[in-house]
Amino acid sequence: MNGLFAGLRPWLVQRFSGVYLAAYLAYAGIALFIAPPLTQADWRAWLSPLPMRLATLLFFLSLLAHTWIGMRDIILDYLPTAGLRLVMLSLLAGLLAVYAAWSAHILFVAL
Amino acid sequence: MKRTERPAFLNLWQIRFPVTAVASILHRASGALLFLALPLLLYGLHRSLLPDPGAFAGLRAALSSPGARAALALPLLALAYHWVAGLRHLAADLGLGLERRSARASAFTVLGLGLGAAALLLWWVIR
Repeated sequence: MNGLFAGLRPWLVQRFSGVYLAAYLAYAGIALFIAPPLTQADWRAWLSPLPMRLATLLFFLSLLAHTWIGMRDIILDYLPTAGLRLVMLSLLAGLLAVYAAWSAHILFVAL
Repeated sequence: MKRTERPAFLNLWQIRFPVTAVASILHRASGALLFLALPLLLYGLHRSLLPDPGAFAGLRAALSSPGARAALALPLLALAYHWVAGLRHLAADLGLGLERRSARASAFTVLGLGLGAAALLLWWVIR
């Protein structure tokens, strides 16, 4: 449990995920700015090649890890009691798990 | 352990914050805002891939409307700021910009870029 809450690992995860998120956003932002997809077919053509799907899945997983650490920090910093923290952290974890499943569905079922 | 009766001054309206503190809290706030906008991102992405004929076209049309743009402007600003401030954070982790002078300079830069992004987004909404 420590690796979720304290020590070097979450710190590293936040940095590495941040680097990947920044790079992916720069790539996607520039690519879509230069050539915005006009039809759904164009959009699918950009998103559905396997490398792009995997890179995007990795984006979402990184985003959820990065979000967990950031929001965890906020919860631990500002909520005064252990009970409140437990509730909010549990809600956060549940929400992020749902988002993980949703993004996998989007990238491998809807796409 | 018994809590001591030490004095604490926490009046945020009266404490004078260094520019680096402003840059930092905005980084946290923009991150929290992005967290709240996450389901919107997932929903938009999902909807853009739905097979019914109106889905994608509807999204494109919405993105041209000032109303939708106004709604998206704040999360997009949060994203831009969080991204730029994140780069500053990563540089600091690598040891760059830790001195008082350079830390202040980079903080001003990040805030300035944030204002630039705000101006760009305002133009995007209004045009």
